[in-house]
Amino acid sequence: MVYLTIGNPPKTIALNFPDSMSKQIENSIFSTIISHESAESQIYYNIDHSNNKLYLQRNGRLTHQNKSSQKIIYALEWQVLKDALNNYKKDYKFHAAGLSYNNNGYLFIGDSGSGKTSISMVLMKLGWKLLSDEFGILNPGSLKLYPFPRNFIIKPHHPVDKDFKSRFVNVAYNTGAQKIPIAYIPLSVFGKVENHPVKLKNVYFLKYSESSTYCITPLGQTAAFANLLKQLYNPQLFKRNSLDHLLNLLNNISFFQLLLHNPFTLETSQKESLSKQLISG
Amino acid sequence: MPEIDNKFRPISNDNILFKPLSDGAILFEPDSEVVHTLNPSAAYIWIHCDGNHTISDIITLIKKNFSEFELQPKDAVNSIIKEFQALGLVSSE
Repeated sequence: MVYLTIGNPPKTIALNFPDSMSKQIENSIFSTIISHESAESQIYYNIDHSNNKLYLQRNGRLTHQNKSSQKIIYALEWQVLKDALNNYKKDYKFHAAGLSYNNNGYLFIGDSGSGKTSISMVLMKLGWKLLSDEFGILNPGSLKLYPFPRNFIIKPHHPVDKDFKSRFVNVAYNTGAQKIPIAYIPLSVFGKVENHPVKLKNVYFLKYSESSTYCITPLGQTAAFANLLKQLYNPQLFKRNSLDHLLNLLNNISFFQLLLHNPFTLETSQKESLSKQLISG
Repeated sequence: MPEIDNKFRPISNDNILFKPLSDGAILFEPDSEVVHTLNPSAAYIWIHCDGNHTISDIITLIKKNFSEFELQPKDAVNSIIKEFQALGLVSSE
């Protein structure tokens, strides 16, 4: 049995599985928050093995069955992800990477392929801590960013060495239109994880640039507002009474556009300079 | 496109929330939860859609307070008020 604690307020998820699946669970996308210490749990997952098939149950109710342990793990990961996101009901969820440096939080908001995972990996190597490379969870009242750690999901466009990737869990991800190969790489390979909420300082809207270098420009409040709404996973939170929260965010946080080609191709000195500029804004 | 009568006094819709920002403003329609972002000149025009100022007054104020326009001030005011009207944000003539 292992335990995952996530959310605001924290909720614990207990996972029970056959010993034969230990390695896969340890390598699952939640490897960074797996604990072996027993804790009072609100959600229970159980994987049973019987008649050559695996059965996944959530709180006693069968949700998936399959012969492939990989597919059961995949289903489990998505369900746990949903549980975790549901546990941040009053918080804004942005399509963003969240990182911290010296207890200050930074959001990197952008579409798929804009460089959220890449910049997360590069900055972690420079001493930044990761809250999440995909879900920027922000409490609109306190302006605190919450951690949502999970393994990096390395897609084909990420410039990560093939031999390096093969050391980790590699699966095919079905997008609906096609299958793309992905690898789950533990965050610890790149650096440290931030396990505590941190106060947001700057927000960067990532935009792909053809230029091989990078460019940071301050963004006005109206443009920042429009971009924030565009990248909000849960716009239903945006009601009359939350307008003031969003204005609080606009009035207290600095917003920038970060034009970025591929942070991996920057020289070491450029990466360090980028890191410094991002910290100060 | 016909111009709005210079003597017309536009009035903004009562139930629309106006929130000023450092470089413009937000208009929020509570019923539909639709948000509009305004640039500084559009925000300035919105503030003066109070039933006291005529189109002519607003053009004079805009000329006095704003220097850079893509359009002539008169055309800019006409265009913005017409857009507000099309969106149901201010009264029609």
